[in-house]
Amino acid sequence: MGYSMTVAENQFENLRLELRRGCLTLAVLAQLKQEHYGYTLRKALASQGLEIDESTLYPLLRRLETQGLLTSEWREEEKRNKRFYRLSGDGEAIFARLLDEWNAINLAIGNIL
Amino acid sequence: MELLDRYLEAVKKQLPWERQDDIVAELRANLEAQLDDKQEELGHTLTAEEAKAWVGQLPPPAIMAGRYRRQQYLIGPGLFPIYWLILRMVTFWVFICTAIVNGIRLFTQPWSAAAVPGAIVDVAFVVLLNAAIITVIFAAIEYALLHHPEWIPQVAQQTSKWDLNALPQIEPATQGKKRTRAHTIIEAAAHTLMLCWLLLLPKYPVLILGPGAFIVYALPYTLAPIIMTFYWAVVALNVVQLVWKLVDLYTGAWMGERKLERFAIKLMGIIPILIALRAPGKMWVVLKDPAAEFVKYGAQLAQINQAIYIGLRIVLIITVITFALEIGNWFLQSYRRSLKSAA
Repeated sequence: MGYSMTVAENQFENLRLELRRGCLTLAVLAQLKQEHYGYTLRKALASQGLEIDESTLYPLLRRLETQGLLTSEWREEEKRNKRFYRLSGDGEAIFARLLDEWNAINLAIGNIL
Repeated sequence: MELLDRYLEAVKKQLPWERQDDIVAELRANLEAQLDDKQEELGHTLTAEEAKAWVGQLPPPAIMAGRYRRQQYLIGPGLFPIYWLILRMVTFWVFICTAIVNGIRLFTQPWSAAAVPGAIVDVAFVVLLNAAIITVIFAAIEYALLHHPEWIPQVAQQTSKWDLNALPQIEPATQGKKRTRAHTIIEAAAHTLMLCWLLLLPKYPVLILGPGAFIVYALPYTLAPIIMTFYWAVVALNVVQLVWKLVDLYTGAWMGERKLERFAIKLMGIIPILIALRAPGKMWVVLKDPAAEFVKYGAQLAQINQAIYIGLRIVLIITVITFALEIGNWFLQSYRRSLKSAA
């Protein structure tokens, strides 16, 4: 019985992670219409109800920057060097398209449910 | 904080080397900001215990560092089904051919205690080597598709396109096709005729050798007594088969799959080969007049018997392997049927 529950929990966890994976990118791009560095971005998303692990968010920022969707710069703030991110031009275009896609999916899911 | 420094050092060691310093600097800034907030919330600098708890709730260094690596597949989901299909096919046939070759080698070379384990290791090594080569080839194709699709334009196109005309035709259903009574009667009749032919062979060798029988009579060789033992074993096997067919006809069992009958007959088919292999002195052909003809034909006789010996061993190995494959296939089909009915 215990083994079956663990398998079911694992299954749910895998599906939950898959569901979140696509949404996180959209959430990060949306939040970076304003400039943030890693920790403030994490706090801002958490305050909106989206908790993201450090090991998920910080590498994601790097990946989106490598893909040309974000720009970054090192700046000193409160006596510490921090890397600030914001949406690039390409990032804004991609974000707009992703948002349309998200709205369409949301509507379809709403109809199905 | 020393613990944080040690954590960042552990992460750094597992980061891509060209970006280590940059990533660690950013991570440090973020984590120190997080630490400041924590200390502000508590109203004091973290104690040793609190620092341990705080660092302990961070993701493991390997996980943190691993997520900075590019996501990559050795063989991606697009190519994987083709890779898996080819891997299974090639590995299967390599295993079969290597098993046959090693089996023949086992039976034709002088026996030693290390022979069987050595043969098993040989087969396993060749199979794994082939699997590794196929994996490396497909990994290279995946890399080229990802980074340099212009190198292999035909493959890049093929992975997304498919040809309607290449779809296989629908095969007519053969499973569950019932045998007719007439078919079974004809089989039994043909088997009876074959048994009669077998029984006539010793008196009329021309039935098997044709006109060549007269040439054989002129040779200095004749068959050793073991051949008659082998012959009667073959006759007995055919009698058993015929009787089984007649019993099936009488009881109505001819309508069923008769898998057990087929396996039993195949297994019994090994008996005549084993009888033949036990020939005294490994002689299946002897001289008609050994005293007079040994000097002239002795060496040739030895070669003939050696060739027969090797041939019998090869037949035995192939028979055993095909029987094992049939049994294995039958178990696999039964297992799959049981899974389907359970589902």
